[in-house]
Amino acid sequence: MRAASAVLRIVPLSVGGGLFVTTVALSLSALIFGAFVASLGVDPFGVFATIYKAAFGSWFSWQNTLSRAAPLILAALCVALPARLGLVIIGGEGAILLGGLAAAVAGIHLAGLPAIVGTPALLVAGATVGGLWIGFCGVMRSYRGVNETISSLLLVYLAVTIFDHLVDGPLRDLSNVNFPSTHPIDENFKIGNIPGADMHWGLVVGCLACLAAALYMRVTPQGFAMRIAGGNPRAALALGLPVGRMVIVVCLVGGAAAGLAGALEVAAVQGRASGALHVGYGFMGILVAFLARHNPLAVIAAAILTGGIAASSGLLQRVYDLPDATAIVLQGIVFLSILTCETLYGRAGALFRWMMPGPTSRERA
Amino acid sequence: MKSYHPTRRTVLRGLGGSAVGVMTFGIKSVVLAEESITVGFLAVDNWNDYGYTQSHLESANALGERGDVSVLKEEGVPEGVEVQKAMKSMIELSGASVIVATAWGYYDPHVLEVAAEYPDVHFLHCGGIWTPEQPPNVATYFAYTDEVAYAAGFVAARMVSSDQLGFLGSKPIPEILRFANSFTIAARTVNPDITTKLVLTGEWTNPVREAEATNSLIDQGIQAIGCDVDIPKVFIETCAKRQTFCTGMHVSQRDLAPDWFLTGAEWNWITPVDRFISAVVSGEPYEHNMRGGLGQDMVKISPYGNAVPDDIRQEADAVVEELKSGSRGIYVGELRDNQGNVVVPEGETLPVDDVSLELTEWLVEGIVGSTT
Repeated sequence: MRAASAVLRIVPLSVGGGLFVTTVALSLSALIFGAFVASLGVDPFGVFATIYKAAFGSWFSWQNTLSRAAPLILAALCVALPARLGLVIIGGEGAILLGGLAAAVAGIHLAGLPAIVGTPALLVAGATVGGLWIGFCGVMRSYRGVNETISSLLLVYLAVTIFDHLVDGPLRDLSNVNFPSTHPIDENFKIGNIPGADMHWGLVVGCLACLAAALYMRVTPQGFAMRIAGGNPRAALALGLPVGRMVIVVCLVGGAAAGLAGALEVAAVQGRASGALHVGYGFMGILVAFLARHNPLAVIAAAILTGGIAASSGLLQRVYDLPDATAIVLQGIVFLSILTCETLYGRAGALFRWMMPGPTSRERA
Repeated sequence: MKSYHPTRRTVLRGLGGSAVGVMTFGIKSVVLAEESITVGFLAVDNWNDYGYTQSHLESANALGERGDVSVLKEEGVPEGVEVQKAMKSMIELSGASVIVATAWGYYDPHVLEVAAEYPDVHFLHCGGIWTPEQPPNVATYFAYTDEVAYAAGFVAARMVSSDQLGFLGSKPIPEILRFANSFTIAARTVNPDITTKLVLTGEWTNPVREAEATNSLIDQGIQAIGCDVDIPKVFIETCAKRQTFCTGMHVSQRDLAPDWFLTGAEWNWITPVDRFISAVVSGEPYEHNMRGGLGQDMVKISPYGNAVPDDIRQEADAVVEELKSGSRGIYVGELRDNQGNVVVPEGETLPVDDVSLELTEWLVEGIVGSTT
């Protein structure tokens, strides 16, 4: 199996090394973004204070941030899990759309069943369709050597077309005249908020999924085998590990996470499938996964940071009259800084190692 | 029931109390008159998009000129949990007492859920339909574009030397189909042989597909194209580059192509928004579903482009006046769809606010193309 493209590759590092690179990258982003904002004639410290206030300054802000982080956690797992095997899957958006659609269809057709059956069925439907969608990329990768980055991205376009066709056509609720959507799911199947908070249960589901993924990687022999295959596919093949099958499985699981994200959006937020599902959570998930260095536990923190930046957009617009693009620019700067620091760490490693305290042997596991 | 015997003390207390009440009420109403209410506008795209969202920016800016209102704006708000959080943030962190939610996907469930949670805040939504079981602090507005689409179709037909027009639409929904129908009906009053070649991209906005469709229409020798897509910027620029006349939608795109832009259909959202805000400020009940067309000042046509000569401007102005006064109808029988079925019988005229038009699925005779 060919190693994934070097540019987008995140080399597994020790926890200390990973934290170091991430910290440098985030500081660099803060500097660049500060300079960018200052060039627009706005006080950068004020902007950072506003971002903090809007994202983390109060319980209200925390709820805003966490609500936005919830779908990103599962979307990021769709990138982070395959990345442990050296795969770069960037088509989670397609799995989210079709997973959400499958959940809506299940929620409509199972109407009348008790919620204890209906809600899990709806989530399973979403996860299954999402899993099959991205799993197909894994199959093509493993049997035909099709580059999974390209195939997963192209499948997004296909997913959008299928989704639009079904929602605008056969599945459309005609009573919703000018905003094409499916019929609403059974009201009983809807997932409510976490008691005492203005956030739905998707956040908890996402965190549990991350925890399960981290445990699987750390504790089980299969997880260990995956880490070996991700570190050196040839060595893994020589050892007789079923690398091809692992590629398919990890794509299935990653896709299931994204499909679940779509299903949760339908069950907890939208109540039906419509174009409102197509808001780019899958693409934001790529940023989150890279920020987390594909570590499932770090995905939670990275999603909170990214959700916080998104949550601050409103207040930035209102207080400083900055455009919505400001938050997107900040997210873009963070992404580029991470990739740049990774490359520098790999290529000009001596510089970073000299700056780094303590032993610096690169750990490939 | 306990009987009530007023004593001197209770009477005095009551009188005193009401006097204090009158005084505080008086003071309060004076304060209220000076105090401004905060209105928060939310949009899904960027404010300066030359399209649907910009039409709402124009209404937000016009509202800001009232003086007794301070306006907050937030763009780029997705139609998910984000818009619920954004509305709550405007209310809780910035003191908004009125929310104007402008994207169609905001209404159900987002506006309805947040409105139920904040009964003291007033919610105005563009495009939704309020029903009595929904929260009482919600109202909606929308406008009929048939008349201004008609005016655009009229000017386009007057400007071409051939029998063909083009039309670029987004989704096969009633709103878009009505626009294409009115555009074509008007063109055929100018020249009954005119046909309109219709292309729908299937998405609210997709600049690449819009440019491709526009180019393919122009390649077929079409001299003027109308449009109803969310962001017509690319469409107008493509037409200008290919030296083809075009009509706009949502706001005036005249600046983008002064020589090739003819005129366009524009929303005039400030009319319903201002009416709603006035009702909120004065504490009067408001209309829950505001609808209207040219006659209600809810839509207008864009300034004419340089290419439109004076005589055509005068004719078009006269058409607009006739539509406004009601002396000219659009859906005048006998009217057939492009499958040959009669949609409006002989001797009848459908007004633009006819409910059946809200479910338009047909394309009028003269349109070449289908909704699928």
